[in-house]
Amino acid sequence: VYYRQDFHATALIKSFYGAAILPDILHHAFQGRSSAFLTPGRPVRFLFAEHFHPEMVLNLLGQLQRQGALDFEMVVLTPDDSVEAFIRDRFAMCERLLGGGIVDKVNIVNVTVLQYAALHQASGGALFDYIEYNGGLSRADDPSAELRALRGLLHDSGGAVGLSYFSTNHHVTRLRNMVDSREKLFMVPFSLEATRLVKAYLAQHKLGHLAEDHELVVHLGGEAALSEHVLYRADQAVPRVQWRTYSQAEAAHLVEEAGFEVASWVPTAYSRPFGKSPRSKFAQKSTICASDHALSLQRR
Amino acid sequence: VQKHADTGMSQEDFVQTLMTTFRYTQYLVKKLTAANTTNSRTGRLKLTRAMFQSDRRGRTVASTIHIEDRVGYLGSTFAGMEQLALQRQSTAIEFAHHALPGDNRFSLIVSPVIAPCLSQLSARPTVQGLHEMNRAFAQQQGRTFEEVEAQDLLLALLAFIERRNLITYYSQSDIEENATDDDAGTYTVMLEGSAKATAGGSGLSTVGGLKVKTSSAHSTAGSAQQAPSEPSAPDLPGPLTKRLMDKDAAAVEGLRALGHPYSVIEEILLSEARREEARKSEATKRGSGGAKSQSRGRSVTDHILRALQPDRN
Repeated sequence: VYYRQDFHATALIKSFYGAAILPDILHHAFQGRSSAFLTPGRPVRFLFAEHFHPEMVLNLLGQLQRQGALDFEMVVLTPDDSVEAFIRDRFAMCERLLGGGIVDKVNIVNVTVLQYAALHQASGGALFDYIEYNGGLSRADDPSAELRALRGLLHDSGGAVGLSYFSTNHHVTRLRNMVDSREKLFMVPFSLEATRLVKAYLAQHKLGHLAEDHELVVHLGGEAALSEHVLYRADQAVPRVQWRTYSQAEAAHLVEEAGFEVASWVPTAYSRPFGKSPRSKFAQKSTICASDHALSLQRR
Repeated sequence: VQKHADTGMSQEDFVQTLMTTFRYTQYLVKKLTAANTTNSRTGRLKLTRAMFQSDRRGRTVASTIHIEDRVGYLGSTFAGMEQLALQRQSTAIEFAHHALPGDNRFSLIVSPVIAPCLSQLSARPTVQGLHEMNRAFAQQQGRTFEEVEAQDLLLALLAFIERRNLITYYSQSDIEENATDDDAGTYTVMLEGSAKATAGGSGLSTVGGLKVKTSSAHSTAGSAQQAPSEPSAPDLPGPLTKRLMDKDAAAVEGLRALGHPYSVIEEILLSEARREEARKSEATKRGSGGAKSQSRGRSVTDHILRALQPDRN
């Protein structure tokens, strides 16, 4: 998408893609110094560490291409075959725009973070300048071990990790209580009560814009929403464990324990600048190949 | 906070439970040991009035820092809200965004000194550019324009909306200068207190609390000591873009101002030119006139330009 806003791809589908947004990385982790991050005198290395939104891989490639920062390498870790298939499918779709050279810089590896860290340590591979770890703290079996592994993969100076996770707040607590205390025998097994309850709650608290964030709705609905997810959305990936939430103090402790310090801490911004755009439907499908492909779609 | 403090809730609890968000995003760096304290990358880029001071070549740091609209609607929203405020004869601009759950509205009282630039916030302007817009507007209106006051007001407003994650500061010229300019060096803007940590930097000066470092591209500290092995290619207009510039320079300049690189514009024009050529050859085979395809060609170009423009709604 050749809009100037495209770096903030979250806007397109109103769900959170992650933190691998170049202007944000530069601003929050490098105090705006582009050259310190993008032209360090060697290829800039990016790692997508198992927990990430697959669209963000494409989005980051598009950002780097537009910046002309083509001296980079990217490693994508995913034990999930469907994620790899999704990314490769997008590569094929955007082949003309991306060019073979860019796709060749991306290496998709079918291992977990911990497996990759062990392999990396044994082989002594190159370190990374930026690591995307979106939702890992909430979803990983052992987030503390994964954070320590990420530390071993990051450059001592000039490296940053983009981390995101679900936070604890009074809405989460109240929603979980409401979901747990609802009438569970009502219309079993076809009830969508938990999901509907969450959406109604969000709407009543001026948070209706979050109701379309499917990941968040399932998270807030807890186990009940998860089972509904399994029943009615079997085509989508099912989360492995119940997603954890963290208070600021808990997260700070975990991060510090793993040997990191917080360069910057930002809340998630939701927006919909493309809400009225005739191209928004296409924009939801793809984040980077909107030029000739989009135009040809429009003509049809 | 006061309302909840009356019920026994501490300010920390208030922030934790009521003003928090559903997701946190953090940028982490390695916590270094005491023996290796060169890590200066803590905190966000902050702007101070010192960045409006020109260097020996007449450039300012403010002219190197772009404003990225994180949410995509700031310019049009401010423009709309200004009109609404005028209609209501109010000095306050009401604003809403969704970075925080619950209370997601706030209102601003914006001085007329800096109001003219607000509608341009989505066009990736520089800080200097915003200031000059305000100055130009004041001169056009025949009003007196206090430079220092206007700079302070602009920086205060930018800081306000930056803290709400509506904008991000972004220094693109940093890269360009490293790649093309050997003797002038790079600008580096650092937070107060971080200058000591940037070991090896030359020509460090402190102006009004802002550290401004001017150093040669080859003497930059740390990992940036070596020149980039593959400097990024300069973004120059291609032949099709040049042709379009001859016909409609304003359109190309408008797109450039919105952040579209020449390479992107050229690629799309090339793609459309090929298609148009295919259409023409097909039309020739069918025996249709050239005038028809010419008019279609113009509409296609217009179509591309419209497509490249951001949604004005």
